[in-house]
Amino acid sequence: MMKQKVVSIVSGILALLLAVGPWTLFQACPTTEKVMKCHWCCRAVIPVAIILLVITVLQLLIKDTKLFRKLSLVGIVGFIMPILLTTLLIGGCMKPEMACNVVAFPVINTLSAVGIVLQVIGFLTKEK
Amino acid sequence: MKSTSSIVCRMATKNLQRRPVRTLCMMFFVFMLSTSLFCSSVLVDSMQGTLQKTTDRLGADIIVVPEEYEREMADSLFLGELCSFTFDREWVDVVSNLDGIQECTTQMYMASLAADCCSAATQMIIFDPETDFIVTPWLEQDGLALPQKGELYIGALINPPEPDSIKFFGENYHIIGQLERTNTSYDTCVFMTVETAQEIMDSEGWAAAFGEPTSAAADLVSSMMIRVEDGADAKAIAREINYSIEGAPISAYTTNGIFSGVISSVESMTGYSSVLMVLMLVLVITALLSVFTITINERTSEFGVLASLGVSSPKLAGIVLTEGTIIGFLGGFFGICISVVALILFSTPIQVKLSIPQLNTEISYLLVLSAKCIFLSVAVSLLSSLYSTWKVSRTKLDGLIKGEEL
Repeated sequence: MMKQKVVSIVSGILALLLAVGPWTLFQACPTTEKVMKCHWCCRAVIPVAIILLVITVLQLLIKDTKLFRKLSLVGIVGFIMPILLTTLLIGGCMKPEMACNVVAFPVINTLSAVGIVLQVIGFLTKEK
Repeated sequence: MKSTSSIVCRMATKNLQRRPVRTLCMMFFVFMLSTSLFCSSVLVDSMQGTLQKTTDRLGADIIVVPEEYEREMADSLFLGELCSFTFDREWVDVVSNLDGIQECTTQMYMASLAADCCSAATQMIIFDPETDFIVTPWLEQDGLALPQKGELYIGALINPPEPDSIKFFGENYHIIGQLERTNTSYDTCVFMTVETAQEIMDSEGWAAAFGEPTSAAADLVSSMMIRVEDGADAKAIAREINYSIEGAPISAYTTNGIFSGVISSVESMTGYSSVLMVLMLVLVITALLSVFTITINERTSEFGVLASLGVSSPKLAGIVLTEGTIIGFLGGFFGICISVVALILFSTPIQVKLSIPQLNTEISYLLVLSAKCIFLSVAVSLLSSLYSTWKVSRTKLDGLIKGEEL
């Protein structure tokens, strides 16, 4: 039970960071009159992060291990989404040295990778 | 009846499963070795590969650039950094008349701005189709026509907002094609002829950014690429250009000479990586050897029971060796998986921070490298377990049952 709580709380924090971080802590490229591609990518991450936040809150509230594992499976898919958005689906600015490529996207990918690992641990939790 | 080897395998697997923390710790050592070997190999090979590709693509023996701009030129060729320097075309005729020169061509570089006037900050390469032996063969190979006035080709990594036009200094220019990916700095460049360059320089946006142009585009040259005659010494010709033409504001470098900074970076990177690998190898072997020796000593009674039940010494040794093999294989495998994911996810910051133009992520290369890393991981793990194997197989039954130190 303790493991499940840790998984859901840390995953929730990661989801919150994914939603808020690109606009505060690890900002992408500044928005001028010309809106860069990375801006839309960071926006697309927000709804995914909100879904993940809801999943982690549910994981924290439920006591049924079977249901927890099913939610973890959705969580794994959810945490894969930001990685797909930053690498394949939308991507960032063309120049590699831009803030989105050097700061924002690597942090988003790291947070997502940690989230995937946590949700895998949650999924592998044995039923008692 | 199950074969002996499958029984030994199952026993080794169960032994490892019974002590998950110890198994994970031992796997972690191999994991670290495999990760560092894989990552350092990819970084060094990528650096060397890009250097080779850039030199091959350049196809020139000597490069002539304005004095003190060789560093900018090398960074532009290797890393795709923007550059914009010129010298007067009159020096081209002087240089091209020297002995030993087979053919030469000129290029001019212009950089657009990262502002609203332009689709992106891009390097523009202006080539001379009549003499060119760098871009033209590339176009011919792909069956592409030479660009006319107002037309240009874009590199593989340029993504303009509109598919058939790109904006420079407030004016739109027609894109007639996108070149194939080369994994060199040319992938982020735009190619055009001098007529288009003159059109850009005459635009109002250019005048607002840099002022009215003082010379025509046709009179300016950024670099001169020279191919020397067969048997001629490129170094000697470069020296002749540097010292025999008086008052020339230009410097000539051989291709290797202009990349000397990059070559020394690659060499030092290879050196650091080799030292790191040797240190890791020694540390991992020592750590695994210690853990194997300690755990085998703790398990003497267990081996004693097995021996008294009739398990022969070679089979006991087989159990220890199989444990070593499984630890080596799994540690190596997970190390490679994590390395591949990390290299793909963080390729851009790695490239920017380590000044590597392109990471080599070709599947065939990664598969071969993975096989090498797994082989080394298993070999190291087996090597570390050899001493314990030898001890277990040599100790007598009563010593094992008593739990004597091996």
